[in-house]
Amino acid sequence: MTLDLHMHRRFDTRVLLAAGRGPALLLLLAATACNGDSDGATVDTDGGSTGASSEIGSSGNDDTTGGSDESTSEDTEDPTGAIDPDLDPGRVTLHRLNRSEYNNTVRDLFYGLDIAPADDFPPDPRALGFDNIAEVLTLSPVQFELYERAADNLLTAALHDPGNAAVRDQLIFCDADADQACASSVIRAFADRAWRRSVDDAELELLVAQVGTATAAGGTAEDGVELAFKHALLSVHFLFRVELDEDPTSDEPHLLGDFELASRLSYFLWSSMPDDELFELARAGELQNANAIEAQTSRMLADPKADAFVDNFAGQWLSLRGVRALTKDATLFPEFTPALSAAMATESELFFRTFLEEERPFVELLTADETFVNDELADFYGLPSPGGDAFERVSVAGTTRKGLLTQAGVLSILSPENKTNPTVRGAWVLSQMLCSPPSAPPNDVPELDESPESGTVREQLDAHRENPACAGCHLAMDPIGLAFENYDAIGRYRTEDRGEPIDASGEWIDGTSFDDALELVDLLAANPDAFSACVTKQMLTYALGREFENPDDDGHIDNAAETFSEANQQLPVLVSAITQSGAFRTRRGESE
Amino acid sequence: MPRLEPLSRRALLIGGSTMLGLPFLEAMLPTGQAHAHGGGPLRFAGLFTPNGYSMSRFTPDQEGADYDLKEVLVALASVQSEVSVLTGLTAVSNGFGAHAQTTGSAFTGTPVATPNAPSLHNTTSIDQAYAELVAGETPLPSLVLGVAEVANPGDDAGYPDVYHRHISWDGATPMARLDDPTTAFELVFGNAPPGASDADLERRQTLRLSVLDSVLDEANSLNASLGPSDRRKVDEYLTSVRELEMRVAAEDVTTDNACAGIAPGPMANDEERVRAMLDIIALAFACDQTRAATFLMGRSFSSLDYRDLLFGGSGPWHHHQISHQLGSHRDRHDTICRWELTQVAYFIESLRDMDEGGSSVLDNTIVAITSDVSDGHSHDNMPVLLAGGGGGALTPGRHIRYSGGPPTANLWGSVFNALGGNVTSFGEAGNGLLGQL
Repeated sequence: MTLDLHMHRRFDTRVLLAAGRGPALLLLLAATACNGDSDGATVDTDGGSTGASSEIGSSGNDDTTGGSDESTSEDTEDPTGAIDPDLDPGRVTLHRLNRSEYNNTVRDLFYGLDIAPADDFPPDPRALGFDNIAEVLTLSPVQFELYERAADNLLTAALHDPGNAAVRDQLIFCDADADQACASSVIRAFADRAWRRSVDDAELELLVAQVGTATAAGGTAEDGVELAFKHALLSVHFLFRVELDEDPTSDEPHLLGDFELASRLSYFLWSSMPDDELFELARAGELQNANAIEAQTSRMLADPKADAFVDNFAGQWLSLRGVRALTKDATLFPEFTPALSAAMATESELFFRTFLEEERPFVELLTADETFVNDELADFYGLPSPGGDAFERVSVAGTTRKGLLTQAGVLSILSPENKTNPTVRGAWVLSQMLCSPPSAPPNDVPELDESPESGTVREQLDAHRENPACAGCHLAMDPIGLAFENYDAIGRYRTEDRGEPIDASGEWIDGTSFDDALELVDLLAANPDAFSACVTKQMLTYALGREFENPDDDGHIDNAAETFSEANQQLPVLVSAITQSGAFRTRRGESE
Repeated sequence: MPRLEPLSRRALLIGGSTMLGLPFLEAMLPTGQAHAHGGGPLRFAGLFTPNGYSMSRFTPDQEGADYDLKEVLVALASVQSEVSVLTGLTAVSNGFGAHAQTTGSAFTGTPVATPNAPSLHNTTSIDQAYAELVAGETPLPSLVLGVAEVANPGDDAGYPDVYHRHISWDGATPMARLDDPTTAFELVFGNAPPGASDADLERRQTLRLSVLDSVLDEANSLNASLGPSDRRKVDEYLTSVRELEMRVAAEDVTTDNACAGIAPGPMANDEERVRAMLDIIALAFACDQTRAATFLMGRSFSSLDYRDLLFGGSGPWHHHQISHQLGSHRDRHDTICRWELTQVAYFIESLRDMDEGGSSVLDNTIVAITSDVSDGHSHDNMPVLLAGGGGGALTPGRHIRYSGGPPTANLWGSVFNALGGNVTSFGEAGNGLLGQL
């Protein structure tokens, strides 16, 4: 289905442009003006006052934006959209492409070439729950040598494998051996896409110089083009997402360059390079306004490449990524086959996807009474078979399931191979759903007493909490985790554990009591603002690849979360609020 | 002027698909080179096994030489006279979480940043410190190897996972680790296209250097327009490119070198993968391709699943989970530890059995083996083993018990000095040196 973000809200236009906003505004204007390749960044100060009376995130009057994806003259009057000038945009450190970004980028750069060189790279460092945090995406020599091998392999496959002739023809679209100008234009076309911007003449000259090197060494001009491609692929401009500040020592925020914005959008939603449409908008200077960004966000979410957003954002935030590779103790769980764990992962991915594709409040992630099953998973859940390997959407109303937290994939990945661990489940709910992770445990935690006389897991944890050093955090984690004791280490429903009936009841942090996980889930959903702020924080962290912890960051979170809440928690609205925010669209240098 | 060993890019063409085998080594050894201590060059290897040991089944009762081998340490019987057992050392910890931080600090002697800190903190590990000390002497500054990771649940207390994935650090930058033996082998011994002529290889070298030179220029000019954090990233890039450029430039592509290996063939199980990696390190040491190496034999939360290798049909199989259920599964934990030490013994034997002109490679090497925890996730009384002669600086084959719980950092200071360094302490937690190694 088509997404129409305009249905839900329009972003506030007042913020940046109202008079008297001080030096930040002035510098933004100055930086915008000096951004030579950007017509769209021209700021019309009159445009700002039109929205001055509306609140940030107010749903306003949809009609005033035209409710359309088409660019209108109003776009250029509204270049800065929901940018809040009072908030520091923070700093996004130079971002090295991670494995997923590298693979997707070369897939798109080489016109669909089916090769994933980054699968051989070392695993990406993960921080704050994601593997795209620029600060920790380090580079050491071995990694660079693997980049060189990857470039060689890519170019051999793209240019010398007869099976990829179509790819080759798109890359080398004229006869470089016969025509000198051809080599240069082929190299420019490749470098513009590889570096995700227009290369300047001096840069092009350096690239084209490889043709001379290759021919001097006895090669053809086309060998030289290949060498220039290799140069482009090993360049800092390819391996990193380079964003520049006019003054790298200044703390004053400024709008991103047009191409930089295109890459922020494409790496957020596709984990890949911009496509032709984004490049063209950037080149024409037509991307730098709220409506264009909103339209592109909507288009990009509907594109199959947005699978990367599900895999990388939801896959990491909701811990779904590891589910397919999970193994369990086969003596205890012989039914936990690779096919079943794959079905569990698919279930949760399809479920998450509905929130991108349909107009449904995101809090239903917690409370939905429907899910997706194939025959194998239906059998596992005790639901009627849909009849085959394909997944079907089915109701779970009146069953023991409700929402993501009772789906088998999450319950399995949060359990060791042979038993449940309520503390881990509880800590996960606190950190992933509410963004209030328990503080780190001390380094010498006493083991639970699991001897036969130690009783149920609940009793073991009760004993653990008698240690005052443990009680603080466990009082918050354990009741949540114990609520899920009705689901074993592979997420199968049970009423007994080791012969003892399971007591899943407990008290929520505010003292409200619940009987089981289904009631706990309702309590979580009853405070949608906390959930929505947490989802927003997680998504901002992923979108920018940086930590969101300081008071200005809280302001960014509050702004986007408010927009999200006012749009009845439609997920595409949150995505769009983020792509239009100052955190996403502006940057600054840093004092030495 | 640094001396760089020539390495033929063609020599491996003789290789078949058999597994890398050390018997080939003896024919390939470079003829004896004179070093200050009279033997081959000094090397350091740091090995890490995750999740600790049953210390009561690890620690000998007797101190000194001819110590008794308890039921875990018995795996080292064949090399006992080459291995010292060091007990009483304390892991370098910042107080939060059991595994991640003490994996990250295992060879650095520095408490890593606390959980959820926005940036990484660590200092250079002993292997990288030694690599810097002998920079330019060998084609590869260091080898950083491990075993492929398997997804298992568990995040340690909110730490960036680099801390529990990396034992080798250059300041706050974790050194990328290779987990695939074939890739690691090609990195050490080259991957020249089969059938290439001398002229082809020379042209290939010229073209590689041309690209590396250009991208260096590009990055240097970019650096001038960046602020400090971004420059840090570009500096890592520049260091990496320069290192490769130096290495490519130093290759004598047309001279056959007697030292080369046989590329690893298909490997049937994790034990073969682990041994292939240990073979690559041994071979790289013997051929003086590098003098510093680390091997992560799994990380605490992930890596090897011991179902097929050790336990068959009945679980638990995951090392980390087993280490949390020592009450019921201590024997299983010990079985894994014995298997790990069997691989360690295999490595030590390999080094011992290679003669380099009157002394063995092991005589001129220091192999250190440790873990992230000791027993039941404690950080006291860490399991530490030290093997090899270090060119005469070490007297292996003893049980040394330290009192007062000195930090492992102090061991790395002493090891660094045995390798030719000159420090009074190592890492931020170091507060002295250990005697009598």
